[in-house]
Amino acid sequence: MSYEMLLNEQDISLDILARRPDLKIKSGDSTYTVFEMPSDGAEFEIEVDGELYSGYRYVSGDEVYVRIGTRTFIVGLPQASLRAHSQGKTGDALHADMPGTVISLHTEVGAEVKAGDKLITIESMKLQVGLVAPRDGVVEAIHVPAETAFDRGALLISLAPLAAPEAAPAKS
Amino acid sequence: MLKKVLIANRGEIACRVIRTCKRLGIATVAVYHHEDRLAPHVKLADTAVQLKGDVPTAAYLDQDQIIAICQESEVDGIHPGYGFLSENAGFVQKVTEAGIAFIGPDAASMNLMGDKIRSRNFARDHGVPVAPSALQDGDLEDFLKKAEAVGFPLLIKASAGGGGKGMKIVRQASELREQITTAASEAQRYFGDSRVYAERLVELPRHIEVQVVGDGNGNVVHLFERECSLQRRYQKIVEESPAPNLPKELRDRICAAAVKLAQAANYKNAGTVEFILGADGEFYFLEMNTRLQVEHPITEEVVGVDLVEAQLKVASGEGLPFKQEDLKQTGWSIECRINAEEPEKDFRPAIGRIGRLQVPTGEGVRFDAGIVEGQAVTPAFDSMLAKLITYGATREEAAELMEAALEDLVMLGVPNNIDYLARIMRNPAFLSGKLHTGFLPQEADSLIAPEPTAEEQIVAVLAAAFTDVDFQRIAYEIPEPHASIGFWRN
Amino acid sequence: MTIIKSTLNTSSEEFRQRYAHNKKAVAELREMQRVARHIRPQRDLDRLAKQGKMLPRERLEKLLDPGTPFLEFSTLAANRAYNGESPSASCITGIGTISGQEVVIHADDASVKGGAWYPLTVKKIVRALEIALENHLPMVHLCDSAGGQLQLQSDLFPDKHLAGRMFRHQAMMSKYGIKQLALVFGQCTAGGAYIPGLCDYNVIVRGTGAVFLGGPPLVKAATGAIVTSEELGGCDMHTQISGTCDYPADSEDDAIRIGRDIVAQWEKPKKWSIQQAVPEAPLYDPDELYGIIPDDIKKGFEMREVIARIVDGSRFHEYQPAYGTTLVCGYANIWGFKVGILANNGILFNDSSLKAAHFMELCNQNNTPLLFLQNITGFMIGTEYERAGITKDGAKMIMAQVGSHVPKFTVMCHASFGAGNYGMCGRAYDGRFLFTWPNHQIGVMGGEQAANTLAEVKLNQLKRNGQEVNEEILNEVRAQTLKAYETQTSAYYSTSELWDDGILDPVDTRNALGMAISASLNAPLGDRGYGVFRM
Repeated sequence: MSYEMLLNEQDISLDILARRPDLKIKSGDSTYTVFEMPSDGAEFEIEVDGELYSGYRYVSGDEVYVRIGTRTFIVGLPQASLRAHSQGKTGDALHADMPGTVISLHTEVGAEVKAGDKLITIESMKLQVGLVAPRDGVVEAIHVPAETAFDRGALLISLAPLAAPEAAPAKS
Repeated sequence: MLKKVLIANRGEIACRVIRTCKRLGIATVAVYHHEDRLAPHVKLADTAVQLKGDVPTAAYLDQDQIIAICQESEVDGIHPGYGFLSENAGFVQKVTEAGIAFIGPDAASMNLMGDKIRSRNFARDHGVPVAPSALQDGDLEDFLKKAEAVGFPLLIKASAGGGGKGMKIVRQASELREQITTAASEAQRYFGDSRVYAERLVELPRHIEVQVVGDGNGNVVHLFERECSLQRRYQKIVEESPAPNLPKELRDRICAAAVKLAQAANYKNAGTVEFILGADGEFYFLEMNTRLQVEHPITEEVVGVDLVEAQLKVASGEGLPFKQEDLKQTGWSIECRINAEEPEKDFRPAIGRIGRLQVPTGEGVRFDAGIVEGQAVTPAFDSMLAKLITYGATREEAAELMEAALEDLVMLGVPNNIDYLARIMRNPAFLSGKLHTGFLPQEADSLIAPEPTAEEQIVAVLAAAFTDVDFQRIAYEIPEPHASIGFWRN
Repeated sequence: MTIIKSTLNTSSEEFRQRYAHNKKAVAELREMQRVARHIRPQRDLDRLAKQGKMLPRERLEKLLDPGTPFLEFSTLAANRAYNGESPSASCITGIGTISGQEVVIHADDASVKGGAWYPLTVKKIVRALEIALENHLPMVHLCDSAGGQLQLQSDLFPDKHLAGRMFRHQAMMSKYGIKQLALVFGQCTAGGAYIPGLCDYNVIVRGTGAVFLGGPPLVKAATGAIVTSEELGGCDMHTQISGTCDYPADSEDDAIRIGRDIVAQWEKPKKWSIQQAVPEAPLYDPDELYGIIPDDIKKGFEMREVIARIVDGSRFHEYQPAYGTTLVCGYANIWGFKVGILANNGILFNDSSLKAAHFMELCNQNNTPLLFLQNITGFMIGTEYERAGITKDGAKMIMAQVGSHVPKFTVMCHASFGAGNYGMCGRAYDGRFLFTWPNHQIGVMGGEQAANTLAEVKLNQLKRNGQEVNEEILNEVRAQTLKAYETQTSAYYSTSELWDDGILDPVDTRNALGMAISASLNAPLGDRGYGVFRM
C-alpha cells in the first residue's frame, strides 16, 4: 500500500522504502530519511534528511492542521483522501432501520451536507434517534415529511453528489 | 456611574466590554446561548444567564427575554456591542421604557441614521456632501430616468440593505433596467424591502470613517478617522488609523463633516460616520453606524482613550469624558480581523474546533478575542473570531509588528485567514498605502497562497502522518525480519 | 561460531562457466514468473477494467504494508498443466504483513477464466491454508472466483485433500484461534461461498462482490426465478439482511482500508522465543552462488560455500567436523534466527546418517529449527553398507527427523534422488516450508540410472522370452525413460505439481528462509520425545 494523503486538495502519497537503520520515505520522486523526535503536546519536531523542523499541529477528525514556520497547512489523512475520492459514488439514501415516525428534519432539499451531519430525527419504540448523512452531498429529496409514520426499510432522504468543485476561486 | 451592566452580545466584543467594566468596578452580566456555554465571555462576566431558545442567533435577538434578564439581575445599563440588537431602535425604546440605560444612542438618532435614504437626506440637508443619486420613490420608469440623469457609472443599492448584498454596478444605460430589476428582487429577498436607490459610483473609492462621541446635547467630539478600504466580499478585514496618504486639510474637512452631522442629529454616545473618498479628493457621506464599531481599537490605540469607558460615562449621564482639544492622533495602529474562512475558496466561512491557540504578546500587540482553545466554531454565528491590533510609531512599524504577530499567532483546527492577512502585510502595494475598496480583488493574484515548497510539503505531510496510529504502525510496528528486509518480491 | 573460510576461486573457468549457466537459468525463471504473473489475454483485462475491478496483484500491493516483503509461494504452479491455461494455478498465495501482522494471503485471480479453480488451484489454496494452520498465521482471502472448473470436478472435488479440505482447514484454524478475513471483491459461488462464510471476519464490495450457493443462472434453472446477483447475494443483502457478511465497502479501495483496519485489531501473536542475534549480512556475496551451483546434475559442489552465502556473517558452528563428512552439520543464524543446518556434501553413508540423527536430536534438545540443504543422490548401496546396516541407519535418520518437535525447512539445492529425499525432509515430511532452486532435479533415482535399470529389465525380459536382443529396442527404452525423467525430474515439473512452495532465485534464499522461520515461530513447539541417543 501507499499511504495516501491530501494537501491543498492534491493527492500526496507516502511510501516507506526502508525502516532500518533509518526510516526512509518516498514521496513523489524524492526520498527522505525521516526521524520523528519524541515530543509531548501539540508541538512536533521532525528530522528530515538531517534538518530539524518544528511546528504546531492539531488533529481534527481525518484532517491535521500543521503550522510550519509562518504557514498553516491542512493535511488530509488517508480516510480524508478516500472520502474525497469516493465522494458521490454510493450511500445515496437514508433508509429506516425500523418502523417509526419522523420527529424533525434538520435539513432541506438542496442543502449541502457533510458526512456525519444530522439530517433527520425519528422516533421508534419511544426512542428518538438522529440519522446522519452517510457522505458529503446535496439533499436530493426528503421522502417522509415531519410527523409522518414510516415502515421499516422506508426511504427517508436521498442524496445527490456534490457539484464538482470550481476550478479556481472566482475573483470578486 | 452605572453599577451593573448586562452585555447583550457574545464573542470578542462581549469580552471587550466586560474588561472595561471590570476596570471601572462595574458588575457585569453575560447572556449566552447553550452553544456558547464554554465561550470566554460566560466565564469572564460576574454572572452569566443562559438564553432560552433553539436558534442561537435568535436567542441573542430575543428582546423581551433579554430585558427580563436585565430586570431579574437588576442591571442599570445594557451594552449591545455591535450587531445583534445594537442598532435596533425598537429595542432601545423598550430598554429605556424599562428604566435601564441603553449604552448607545437614543432611539430617535438610531431611527434617523438606520435608514439609508433618510440619513442621506438628513446629511444633504445639513451640508454634508452626498453622492449624486436617485431614489426609487415612484414607478420604475420614473426611477430609470432619474437614475440615468445621475450619470454613469452607477451603483444600485438596497435602501434597507448593507454588507454589499444586492449591490449592482451599472456602466451603461442599456444595462440599467435589468440590473435595477435584479437588485430590487435581491433586496426583497435579503431585506424584505425591494426599494433600491442609485448613486454615482466613485472609482477607486476609499472607505474613510470618523469616530464620533456625542453627549446628546449637541456636544460632539471626533476621534479622527479610520481607513477601512481593505474589504473582501464588501466586508472590512484590515483597518488602520490614521488613513495613509490623506492630506491634513482633507482629514480636517472629513472629520468636521462628521462632527457637523452628529451635532445636527444631537447624537448621543459613540458612533461612526462613514464616507466614500474618491481619487479626486471628493468625499461623500455613506452612512452612520450608531454603535461601537468592530474596528474601534485602532482609534483607542492612536488617540489613547478607552471608547467603552467613554460610552459608559455618556450613558451614565456624566457627559463627554474628553474635549476635542485634548484628543491627538499619535503613532499608527492597524487591525486585522481573524476570521474562520477560506481565502482560497472565495472566503467561504469555515467551521471547526480551535484545537490549538497561541496568542502573540508583546509591546504594541493587542489581541481582542472571544475564543479559547478547545472552542467549537459553528455556523451559528459570525465567522469573525478575534481581532489582532498593533500599534507603532509609524505605519511601517505597525505593519511590521502586525506581520510578526500574525506569524506568531497559532490557531489550528479551523480554516482561517491568518496567513492571508500576513500576505497582505507583506504586499508592496499595501505597504505603499495606495488603498481603495477594490484593493483586495485587484491584488488577488499576488495574495494567493504560494504553492508549498517541497520542504514544506514533506514536513507537513509527515507531521500529519505521524499523528496517525495507522502510519505509526506501518512505520514502527513491522515485525522482523520483514522490517529489515524491506520491499522485496521473490 | 567461526567465519567459514571460502576456497572459492571466482576467477576460475569453472566459476565463470557455472555463473553464466545459472544466470541464464535464473533469467529464464524470472521470465516465466513474469509471464505467469502479468501476461493475460487483453479481453480478460478489458472485462475486469469494465467491472471496475483491480487485478489481484494491484489489490495485494495495496493491502500489504508499504516497504515490506512478500514471500510468494508457487508462482509457477500449474506451469506444466492444462496447456498452460492456468498461470500460477489461477491464484496468488504468500506471506506478508498487513498492519504489522504477519499473515498468509490467498488471492483469486479473476483475470484467468473468471478465477475458476483448477485442481492445482485447489491444491495451492489448500497448501496455503495448511501453512497458515501449521504456523498459526492469520489468513486473508481476496475472493474473486467463479468456483470450481466443472469439467474437472473429479480432480478437485471428492478426495481428502481436494476442495473440501479448504473449508476443513478454515474451520480448524478458527477453532485454534487463528483468525481469518475474507475480502469479497467478486463472486464467491457455491463452494467458494464458504470461504467468506467460514472466515471470522469478512468485507464485501458493493456492486461487484457477491456470495451465494447458487448464482442467478442456477437459480433460474432450478426454480425459474430471475434475480440479479446483487439481490441474490450482494453487499447490502448480506450486510443488512442475511448477516453473512460483516462490513459493506463502497469500493475495492474501501474494502482494503477496512480489511487493514480489521487486521490492526487482532492481537499480536506470542511467538516462541528462539535464540536470536542481531542480523548480519553474509560476509561473502550471495551473488557468488551462481558460480558455485553446478551446470550438470551429476557434478558435486562444496555445501559450506553455499552456507557461507546464506547465513549471517557467514558464521558457522560446525558439529562433528571430522565424522560422517558427507553431511555437513552445524549451527548458524539466518536473519538473526538460530538454525541447525544439515547439508549434503556427498552420498549418505552409515556414519553421516548417524551424525544426522544425532544432530537433529541436539537441535530438538536446544529448540533450534532445522534447515535441510539437499543435494542428495541417495544412501550408499552395496554389500558392505548393507552389512553395516545402512537401512537401519537411514531409518534412524528418518525417525529422528519425523519425531522432531522443532520446525523444519528444506531447500532443494540440486539433486534429490531416492531415499535420501526422505531422510533430508522431502515434501512428505511436513517441513514447514520447502523451496527449490531452478537447477534442482527430483526422482526416485537419476534419469540415466533409471534408463539403464529399465533397459536391463527389458534385456532380461527379452532373454527370458528367447527373443533376439535388439540394441535398438534397448536404446528406445533408454530414450523414452530419459525423456520422461527429464520432464518429470525438472524443478519446473516439481513446482507445477506443488511438490514445493516455489522455485527461488538462489540469492533470494536467505530472505525466504528468514520470513519462513519468522512465520514458524507463531505456532507453539510440540512435545519433546526422548533425550539424545548417542548413535
